[in-house]
Amino acid sequence: MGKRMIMEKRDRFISQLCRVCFCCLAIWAGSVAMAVGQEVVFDDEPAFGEERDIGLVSDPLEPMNRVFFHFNDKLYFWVLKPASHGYSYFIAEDVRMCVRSFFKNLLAPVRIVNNFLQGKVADSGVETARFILNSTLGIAGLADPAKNEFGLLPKDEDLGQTMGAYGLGEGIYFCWPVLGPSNVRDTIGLAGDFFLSPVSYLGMSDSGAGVAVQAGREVNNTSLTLGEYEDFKESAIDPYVALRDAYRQYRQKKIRDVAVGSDSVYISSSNTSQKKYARDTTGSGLPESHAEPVVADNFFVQVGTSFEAEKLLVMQQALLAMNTASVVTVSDRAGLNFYALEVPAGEKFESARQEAKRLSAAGFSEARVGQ
Amino acid sequence: MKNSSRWYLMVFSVCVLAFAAPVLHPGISCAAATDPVVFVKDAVDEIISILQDEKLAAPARKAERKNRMVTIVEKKFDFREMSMRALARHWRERSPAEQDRFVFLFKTLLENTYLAKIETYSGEKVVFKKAAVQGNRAIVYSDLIRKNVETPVNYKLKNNDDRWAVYDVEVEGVSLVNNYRTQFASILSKENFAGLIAKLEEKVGKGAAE
Repeated sequence: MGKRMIMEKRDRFISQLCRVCFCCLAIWAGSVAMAVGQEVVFDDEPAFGEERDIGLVSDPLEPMNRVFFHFNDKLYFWVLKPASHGYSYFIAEDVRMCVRSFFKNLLAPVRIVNNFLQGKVADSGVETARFILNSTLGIAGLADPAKNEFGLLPKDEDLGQTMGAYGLGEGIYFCWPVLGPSNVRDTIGLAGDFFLSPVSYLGMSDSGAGVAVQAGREVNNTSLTLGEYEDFKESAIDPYVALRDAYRQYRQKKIRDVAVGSDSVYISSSNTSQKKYARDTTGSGLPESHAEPVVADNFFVQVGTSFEAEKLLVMQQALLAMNTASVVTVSDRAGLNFYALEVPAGEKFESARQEAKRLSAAGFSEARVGQ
Repeated sequence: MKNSSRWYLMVFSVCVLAFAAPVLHPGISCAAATDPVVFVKDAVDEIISILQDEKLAAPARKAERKNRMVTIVEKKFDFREMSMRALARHWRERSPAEQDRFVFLFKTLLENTYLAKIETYSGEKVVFKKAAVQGNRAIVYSDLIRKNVETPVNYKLKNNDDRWAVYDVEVEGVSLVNNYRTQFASILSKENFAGLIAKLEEKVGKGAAE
């Protein structure tokens, strides 16, 4: 009996969802025509340091969007903020950060599938590995050992980005109540990604629980970012326009994967400047007698994330206290950024290398000794 | 579902931190003299020394402390260039007096909203990554780490007469100057320049009163 009810509920839910999807498609079809003139052109790169001109946003629904913006604003100040304040009073920050990463881990299917859909097979693999590692070693995603111990950085992709990567225009701008800024493309993307989210399936069998979980997640995440929305509003002259533009810039950068951390940005100059850094700082860190720059690639300890990079700084200070030179550099290999501590070659630095080796024995992703 | 409504809060508050970044942690930096990374990091060290100066922390000297930080920021940021870029085509249509007034107001707005926040943040770390240089332009890449989240913050610099100056800050891919440009363009499509100036004056006045 109960089973049948659930089945019926699910059927009704799916048919409703199809209807929503159809409406979205209809709106999108209409707005694509309007957005044709503004589609992103991918092949001409702007001059170095210059912003790509992303044209004007299509916002025919501005009056309605402004109403929803206002609604969301009040929702934040009257509901979300007080709730998050109360919640953060009882729950320690560390716990809240764990909850946040738990939900992030749950959404791994979205990232795995969309990386794959965009032909980023390697990144899709990275996300899969992250999901497996974090779900097991990371205790259901409460921690992120994949990043902290294995240097596997998240590759954030969603269906909206996938469609954008295939050249689909954004359509008109929406400011949805509760969900916030979006556009036609990303709204469809959101609907598609919905099927890849475990929380949605919970919502299908028990919509009350689904809403509760979403609300809980929202409160948890907000508790970690209290004050940010206030800052945003204070800095803007017209917060509605500021948010619309920021959303647009953010999504376009995401689609083109240049929101930094991406290596494509550096390609033109990274190799030469990296080398230069290593040399120059080696020079300045050395005793006076070593005016000649030392090429510092004989020994390094490397870490994959900037959290761990702090350990390198501590190590570097220890080495400097021993009056020996060392350099901390940022580099990349196989598309991953890593931070490296280098100690110059030569007998003079033998004790420093030993010390670095000793220090690196504890807690680094990888320590490599050359020569 | 995806974390769609969360990112923008971060973007803006990190904009705040982009100004504050220098203050928080020198982090890793490796560069030569006259290097843009060093240029940005120098501002860091100077502001740190001001914030750590206990004598300046006294309430009576609050104004002096802020002025000192403003001096440093004004040395590092090119507010005229930022204003030109933010007004875009409207800039050329303005008289020199109007341009100066705009630069002053825009600069004050940025200082009021961003610089004043520096002291309210804690526990953030900044890691300076590498810089890309091409001709007289440079981009300094850094990561701001807060509550286990890394946010990319890029400083865009231009070299005039052998002096670097920051003309834009990009947080999580969102350019500060472009964001203001869109706002200014939207306001100027509805009202004249005097109206924009009035809006800025109101905003700046509010900030000063707080």
